[in-house]
Amino acid sequence: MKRAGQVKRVKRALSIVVAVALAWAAVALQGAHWSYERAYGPFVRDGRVGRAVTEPGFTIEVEQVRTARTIRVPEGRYGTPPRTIPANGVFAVVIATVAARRSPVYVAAARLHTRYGDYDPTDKLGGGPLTGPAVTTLSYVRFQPGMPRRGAYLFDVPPQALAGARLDVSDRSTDEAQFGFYRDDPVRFSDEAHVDLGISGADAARLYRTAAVGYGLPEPS
Amino acid sequence: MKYVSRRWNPGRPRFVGHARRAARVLALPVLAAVAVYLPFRPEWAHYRADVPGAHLRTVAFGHSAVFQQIRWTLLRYGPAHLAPGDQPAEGIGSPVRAGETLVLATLRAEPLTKKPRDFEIDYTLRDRAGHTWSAFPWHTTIYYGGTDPAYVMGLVPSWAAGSFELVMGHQHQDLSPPLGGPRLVFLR
Repeated sequence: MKRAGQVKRVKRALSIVVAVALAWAAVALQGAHWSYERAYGPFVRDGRVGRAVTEPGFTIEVEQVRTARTIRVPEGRYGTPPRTIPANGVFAVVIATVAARRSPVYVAAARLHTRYGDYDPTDKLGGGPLTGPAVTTLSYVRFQPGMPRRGAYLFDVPPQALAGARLDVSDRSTDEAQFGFYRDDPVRFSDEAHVDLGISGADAARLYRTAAVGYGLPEPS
Repeated sequence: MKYVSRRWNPGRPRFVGHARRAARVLALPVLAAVAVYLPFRPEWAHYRADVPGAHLRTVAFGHSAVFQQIRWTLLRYGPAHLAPGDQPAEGIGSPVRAGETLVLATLRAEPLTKKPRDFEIDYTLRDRAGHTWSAFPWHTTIYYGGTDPAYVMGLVPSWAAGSFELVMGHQHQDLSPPLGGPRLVFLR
């Protein structure tokens, strides 16, 4: 039968087309999923110095950036003598006001994003599991709704890194999330504010030239 | 012995095959749901730490409720008055700034057993608008047969000093089967 053979050929051609289409779709869908950042965050909001950035969990307003060659630490609570801490490069003191919006929150994950790379807050103020740092920076403050705190994030950076620097802060949990497929991944679903500090090349040079000696870091107030 | 197909067996009543097929069709979604739920269960608990569940036991003012083997009765909400030299509860920064009020919840706590299990209670303050604040026990030792009141202290903005309510929750290490169990809120 001629007709039956034709139907068979058409069926075979159709099945080949369907198989190729399915294979193509499978490969195409591999690349069509959301990126990690799109799906799990951190969800970034941009801001600039002098303006408040509002995230779901907190607001931050960076007031100004100051620089210091040395930082003077006053006498401690348990009679530790006053001392002066020198910077390797220059201390960038980012003075900001932070408030929680809904529930108690730490805005502890801070970075200074520069053209040289990202800098963590300096560990020169000390502090560990049992002892607080010599001066409390905003990383250590548990913010509560309706009660803003003004304080500082402290970075130790090369002077050339100041120009164009940006403060990245996030309320991501600092304790490790022991859950799910992505264990030890506290990054998920956190909100991040990128605050452009508005430092031009000339500003950076001036900031380095006029960097304070024996600067007294403001405690959260 | 003659081979008899299990699948096609005209001697077997028809409804047995139907029932088996229905059971299979039902089992598949159930299995899929369990397979999806199991890996997400701890994640869900983590999420619940941030976003409290809807399950909240409320206690009307003047009534008592049992939480972690202690019978609690709210006596009053009000501002805290520190005697000279007295310190606020550990965890509350001092001094108090303008526009902030140190508040106190005073409760009667009656342990139901002489040997209570050593649980930690997670205290928070909340208001009806959805804000929460940290709170801490203050000058409080609860023992069997004791009559001293229990205090929970918190620091809230002054606009919340007349509207806050105390919430008791289980701490994470005490997670009981339904994700830490219900929390208890003492209404004003």
